[in-house]
Amino acid sequence: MKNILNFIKSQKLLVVFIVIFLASSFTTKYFFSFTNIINLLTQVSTYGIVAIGMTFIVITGEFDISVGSVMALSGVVVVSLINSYGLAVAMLALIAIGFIVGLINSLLVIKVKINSFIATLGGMIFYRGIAFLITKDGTPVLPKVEYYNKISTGTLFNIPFLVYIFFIIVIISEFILKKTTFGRNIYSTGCNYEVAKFAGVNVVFYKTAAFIICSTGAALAGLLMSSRLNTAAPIAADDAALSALSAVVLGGTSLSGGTGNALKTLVGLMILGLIVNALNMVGISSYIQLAIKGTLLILFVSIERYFQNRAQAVSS
Amino acid sequence: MNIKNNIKLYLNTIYRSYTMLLALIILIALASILSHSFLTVQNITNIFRQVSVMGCVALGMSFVIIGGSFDMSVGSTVSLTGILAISLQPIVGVFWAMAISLIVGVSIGLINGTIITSINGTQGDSFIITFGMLTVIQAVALIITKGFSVPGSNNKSYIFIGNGDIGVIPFSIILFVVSAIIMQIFITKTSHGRNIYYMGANSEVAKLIGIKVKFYKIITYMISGAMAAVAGFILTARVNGAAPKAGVNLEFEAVTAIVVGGIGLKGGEGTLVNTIIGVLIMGVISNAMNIIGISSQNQLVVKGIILIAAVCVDIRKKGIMGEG
Amino acid sequence: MAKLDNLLTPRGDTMCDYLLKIQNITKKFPGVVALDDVSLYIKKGEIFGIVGENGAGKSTLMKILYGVYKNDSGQIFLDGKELKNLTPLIAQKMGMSIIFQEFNLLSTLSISENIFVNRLSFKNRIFVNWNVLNKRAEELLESIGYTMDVKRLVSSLSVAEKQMVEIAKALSFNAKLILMDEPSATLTNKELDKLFKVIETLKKQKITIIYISHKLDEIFQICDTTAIFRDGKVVDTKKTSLFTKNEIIQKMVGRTVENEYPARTKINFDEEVLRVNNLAIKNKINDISFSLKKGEILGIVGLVGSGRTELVRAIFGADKKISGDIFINGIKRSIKSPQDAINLKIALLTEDRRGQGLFINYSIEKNISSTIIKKISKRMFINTKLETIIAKKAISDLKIKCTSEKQTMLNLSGGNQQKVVLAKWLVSEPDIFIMDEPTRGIDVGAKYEIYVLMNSLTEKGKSIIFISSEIQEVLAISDRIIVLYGGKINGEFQREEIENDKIMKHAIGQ
Ligand SMILES: Nc1ncnc2c1ncn2[C@@H]1O[C@H](COP(=O)(O)OP(=O)(O)OP(=O)(O)O)[C@@H](O)[C@H]1O
Ligand SMILES: [Mg+2]
Repeated sequence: MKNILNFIKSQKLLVVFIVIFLASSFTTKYFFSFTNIINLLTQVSTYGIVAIGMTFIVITGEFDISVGSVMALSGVVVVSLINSYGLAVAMLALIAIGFIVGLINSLLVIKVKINSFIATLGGMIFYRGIAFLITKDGTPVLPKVEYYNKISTGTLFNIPFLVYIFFIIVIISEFILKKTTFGRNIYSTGCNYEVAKFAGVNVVFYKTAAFIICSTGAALAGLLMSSRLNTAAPIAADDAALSALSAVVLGGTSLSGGTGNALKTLVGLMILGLIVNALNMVGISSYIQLAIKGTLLILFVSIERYFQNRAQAVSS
Repeated sequence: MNIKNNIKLYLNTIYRSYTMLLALIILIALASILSHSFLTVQNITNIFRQVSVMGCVALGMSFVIIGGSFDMSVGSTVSLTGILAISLQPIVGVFWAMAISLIVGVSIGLINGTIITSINGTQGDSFIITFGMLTVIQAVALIITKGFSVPGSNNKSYIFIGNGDIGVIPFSIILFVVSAIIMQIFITKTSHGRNIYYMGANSEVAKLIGIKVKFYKIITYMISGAMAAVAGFILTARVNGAAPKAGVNLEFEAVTAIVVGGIGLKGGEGTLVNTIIGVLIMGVISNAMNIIGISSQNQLVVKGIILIAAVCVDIRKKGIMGEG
Repeated sequence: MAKLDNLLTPRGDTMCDYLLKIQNITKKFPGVVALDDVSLYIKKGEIFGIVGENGAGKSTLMKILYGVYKNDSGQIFLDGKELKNLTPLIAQKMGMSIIFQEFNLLSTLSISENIFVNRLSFKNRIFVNWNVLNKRAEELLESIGYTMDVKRLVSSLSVAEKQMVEIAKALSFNAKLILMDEPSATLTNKELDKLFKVIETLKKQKITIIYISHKLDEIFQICDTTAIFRDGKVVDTKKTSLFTKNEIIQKMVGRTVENEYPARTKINFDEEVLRVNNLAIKNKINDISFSLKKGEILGIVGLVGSGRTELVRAIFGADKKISGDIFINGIKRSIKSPQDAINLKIALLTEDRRGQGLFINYSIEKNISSTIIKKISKRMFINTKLETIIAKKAISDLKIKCTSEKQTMLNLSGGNQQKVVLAKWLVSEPDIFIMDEPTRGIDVGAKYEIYVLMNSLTEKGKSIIFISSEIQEVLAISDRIIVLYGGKINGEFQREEIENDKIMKHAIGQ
């Protein structure tokens, strides 16, 4: 019994999630249907991958708000290349995009010492610009190969590949962050850059790695999104950075770095996704939905912080 | 020795505060070389006119950021207060319409601040909470207008805010500049302003020397809300009409301008001079690209590069501060 | 000299007994020469003490040895090999470890992770085995006589506990040279004894230690050789036993100090300024009552974890109390926040200067004026001229070593930072000072001046609650002492009853 209580105390957000989940299942019949659950998971998966990548960078105490543009750019590039050169070249390009963007971001942040918000903001504008240039007049690129659409939407046991990919990424990320020296050094770097440096942690390497992981995640998400929608538009995913960041912070990862993990982000994501999904199901007008969404966001953060403060007051 | 040190220190301070000014000057010089119509009185007033809305938002938000938090809710606050100011005019008259909108703006700040202080929120919390608030206020604006634009009132004195001139200088610019001066004096010269800095630098220490941290946090949000309302007036007066999404992305642009101007996001540093320079840099970039005739697609690429280049001028300053 | 050594070492001459040779090191910061042509020779297995005034350059030398700062000129040899382009990582690999003067811990991570930071994997350098890691951390802490839940986050630790983690961390490297920059500043006698035992064991293992402290007794107790620093120069180095205490002090501060503590004139205290009744804090403090008289210095003694800091924080309104009444000048007052306390003219000098005492990125001036910003403003507007005047006066009164009042706190030496904490409260002129470790990291000369200052404050009718982990100083200058043990008062002593042993017994719960 005490264990259960402790669990509830430590995992308030998860509990919140379960409560909304159950509440939604009671209010609408369709909610708790297999199709709808899968639908929900599919909806959160692309931005979910971005959010997991974002978790790494937020743990190091930085932001990356160029992710949306990287998604758009990678979608456009991959689809264009796949049309003319095939999958292998396209995948290489995807990795190259993730790697180069991450490298540029980290260079600007670490070496040139620009605030990561601005460095990646510049990138955000720049990469989207390139995506526009590639598509000439901004019209979406359509994949000409059949299988492209299947990468995301193909199913195994009636569950789309996309969902599998997302969950595999979550599990791997959680493992890396918790159980490897690589992951732990990412935390050290974010907790206090100077202290970690004095302890001999190669802070430059880990920060760079986090930026690369984040932008590669975004590039992959760009591919998966264009595959799911079967089109790649340069205007796509303009709200990705903010959504991902919200999920990360809602999950309880502090923007000042050094805390958080992938599972927390997953919970944050699911709550955000669930709210949208449940509100849609109940059939509330979109404006009121918006209001409810905002209110819930405020409520969750407040409740979480309130309990955290109380717990701290007791323990210290 | 001592005099030499002081001079060194002084030069250092100047250098620190004005590196971004240098970036601005370089940008202006570049733009004037590239286009003859850039450095004309007409165009300069134009730039100010264009930035006065975002500028007001950025001024208010600077208070919050210096105090160590975020205010992402300003974008929809601009929309909502603009809508109220326009649509209440036929009912209560211009004065009361504006007064009510201003009160609404301030109240939004009050709510933001109260929520954040009552949960002892961190900087990250303030980001999410005000982001939630952004969504809620956006919804309210949409619900009030049912999603449609509200046509202007044709009230001359109201339109004057956005389009009128005093002498040759547009009224909106005067409004922006006067607000900036008052706010700058407030935050750098008064005890309240200093307390906001102390709070932003380390709220724990501030609390322990008896600064009313909660009070000042709420005040910064109220100021931010008020300035968002002023921005709402200027915006709706200029286009003589209000739209529920008129303020979308303003919060983002304002944060950008603030950081480009050289104010760190961690709080407790920078002044409104930084904000103004940041705002002008952003304004000059957009304006110059339009004048020079860069296509909107290329503009994105160029803007990204210039933004980073502008901040790069800031590097050596960071280098000095980062040492040790 | 330098050349000669270079010639000698490879041939295995006398110089080879030296584990560490520091030759002609100079380091300048804007406006100060922190180290001026410093040379030191440190033998293997030796405990080498360094003493010197605040700002003499001790920490700067340690940071250079560990690769945090680069020296402008000079050479360092470890085991005969010259160390060039040092970084902390290289220093570690060369067999050095360090306890920094200021905490260098990762607050959001656990104790075990902090100890083994960057060396989390014992096998393959990829995977972390948390069980093994936690176990090793536990063992390490136990070896220095400490049992803690190593999974606790460092942010939840008290200052002394953090220091123990720092010590464990420094030991975990199995280094052959350990640099200790004021490791004892935050420790009480009990922990200090443990530290000394550890140091003795290390010495038996032929491990070399550089030990910096402002507490000269410690230096005499454990250091084989001692170097005295003054204004960035080494003024003397010899076997510690050849020094007398007075000689050290004289060489450090440039004048003789007759007594370590100023005489305190006994006055009769009758007027009660503060009374605490039945104060309790959840899990920390249990039913504490005491009073403070006008003009009195009340010492509070207790081991780490006895609740000293918690007690005074609660009185000051910084932490929540469950129950208890506070009377100021006989009137019952509710103190719910530091503001309330400050309005009642109470001041709290916190023990953790970085986290709670200073705006570390701000100038000295802005820190000093922070407590009186309202007072020096007229109709809201700050009188910046007055601000500077006050700061300048405080700097000269307390002899704060700095380039100007505009210098940022970050660039001050530890002891001088502590003086600024003192200064900012002094200028606010409270009636009741609560001083939690006010002399931490302050040199002998300056300490004496602080005691004198405390005396003159009480003569002016101010009252002081004085907490220090250096029990001698509490005993020497307090008029009355209360001893805390496990969150309760375990004995109260008037000045004439004060005796070291008796008080220690009460402090450990007997
Ligand atoms: N990063 C820095 N930038 C500028 N000046 C510095 C810096 N670090 C130290 N100093 C200055 O160098 C001098 C020596 O400082 P250091 O910290 O070595 O003194 P210390 O002997 O350790 O004193 P304490 O006993 O107070 O710890 C001081 O005057 C200090 O102000
Ligand atoms: Mg020192």
